[in-house]
Amino acid sequence: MRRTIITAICILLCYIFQTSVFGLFKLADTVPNMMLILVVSIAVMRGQKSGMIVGFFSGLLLDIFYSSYLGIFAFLYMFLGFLDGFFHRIYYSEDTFLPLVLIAVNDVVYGILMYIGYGLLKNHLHIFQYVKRIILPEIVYTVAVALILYRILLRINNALEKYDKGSVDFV
Amino acid sequence: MKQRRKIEFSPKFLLILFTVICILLVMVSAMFSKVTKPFSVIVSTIIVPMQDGINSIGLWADDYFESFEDMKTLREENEKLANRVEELTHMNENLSTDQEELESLRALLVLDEEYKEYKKVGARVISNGRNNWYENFVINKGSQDGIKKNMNVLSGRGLVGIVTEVGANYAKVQSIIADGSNVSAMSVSTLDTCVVKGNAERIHSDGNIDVAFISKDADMKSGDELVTSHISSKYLPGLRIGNVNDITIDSSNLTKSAHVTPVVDFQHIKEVLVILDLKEVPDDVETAD
Repeated sequence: MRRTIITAICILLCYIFQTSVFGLFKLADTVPNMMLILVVSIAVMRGQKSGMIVGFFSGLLLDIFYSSYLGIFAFLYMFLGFLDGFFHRIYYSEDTFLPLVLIAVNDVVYGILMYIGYGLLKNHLHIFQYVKRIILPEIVYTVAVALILYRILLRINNALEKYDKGSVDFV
Repeated sequence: MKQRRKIEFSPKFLLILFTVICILLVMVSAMFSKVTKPFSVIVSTIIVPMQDGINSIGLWADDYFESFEDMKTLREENEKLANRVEELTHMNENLSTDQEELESLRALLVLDEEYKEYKKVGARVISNGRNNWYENFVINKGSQDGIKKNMNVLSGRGLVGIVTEVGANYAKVQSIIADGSNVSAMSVSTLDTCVVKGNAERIHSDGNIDVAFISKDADMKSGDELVTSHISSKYLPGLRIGNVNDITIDSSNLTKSAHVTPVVDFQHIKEVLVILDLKEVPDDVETAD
């Protein structure tokens, strides 16, 4: 239960940071994708199921405010969480390299999907422009933020694991 | 109850479950857009106040950083403006100098009109002797421009002096205030002749020039205008010198002395006119100057 509440708070905080705080500190007109960092980190640290649940709810939150149909972002984040969960098997908690690489790769995938969803379908064919102006800066910014955020999430996770050793929780 | 909680979903099952939920959500929200409204309302009541709070913090921080940036831009701007002020001051100085020059040249033009009967050439003062007073100075025209020794030099409203030495491209001028300068003069109204004797000390003290050898019977009064006389050997007649004052009888009781306030401002001479006509007198004639 404790884990559920804390994870929910994490999702909310990440959401608020991504949509409000970093909106004021844009670099090259991009905002770090904090939700993605959260989903990837949890998926890697906790496994597929946790990743999927966190991804689903994070995406749903974004859907409610930013997309015209519910479920699109939810599915996207959920699916990313599912994929990243595969790496839980080769992950150990001292390894910061794997999560960061995964975050970067996920951001690329996310960026390309966004391009397909928002650009290509509206006949914007200059993908290199898009890569240069949006995807690349966002990856750099996201990875930079992830360097810090991942450590915080890792600490929270370690603390939680210490508390409920043995007890089974949903998330 | 305990049994139920222990049911483990396999990830793939979860994936399918969530996918179905997502597809359902998309379909529902696409078909009945009003259905999703309560969701937004509920979530926004929770999140919007938080966003507001954090936004105000963010805005404060943003403002804070921006004020630094503003300071930087202000500094830059200030520097730029200071430079501009300097530039403009310089320009302004140049312009006012030009303006002064224009005025003095206009005055020269008036003078030129006044003494129309003589041919003249304008010249600039390029060097002045020891002090503020233009006693002996150098002009930028010389023999190349037809200047010869003993030519008369005008400025402002009247006589300045005489050319004493001529080079190829310069000429030295001794002004009538210099020690050793003697100008034969006369009063315009009474035609009494006298000699204007340069005296550096007097011009420094009260700006006047000594006048000597006024005849004891002369009717010259204070305020009379003095011009160069027709009996001068070097000076052309009728060049204005100044106004007489302080007429006193000398102790010898034979002559009177006076002072003359020159019409030329001997502290500020920049441009002069040199009269190219020379007064021709035989060498052996004895004259006052």
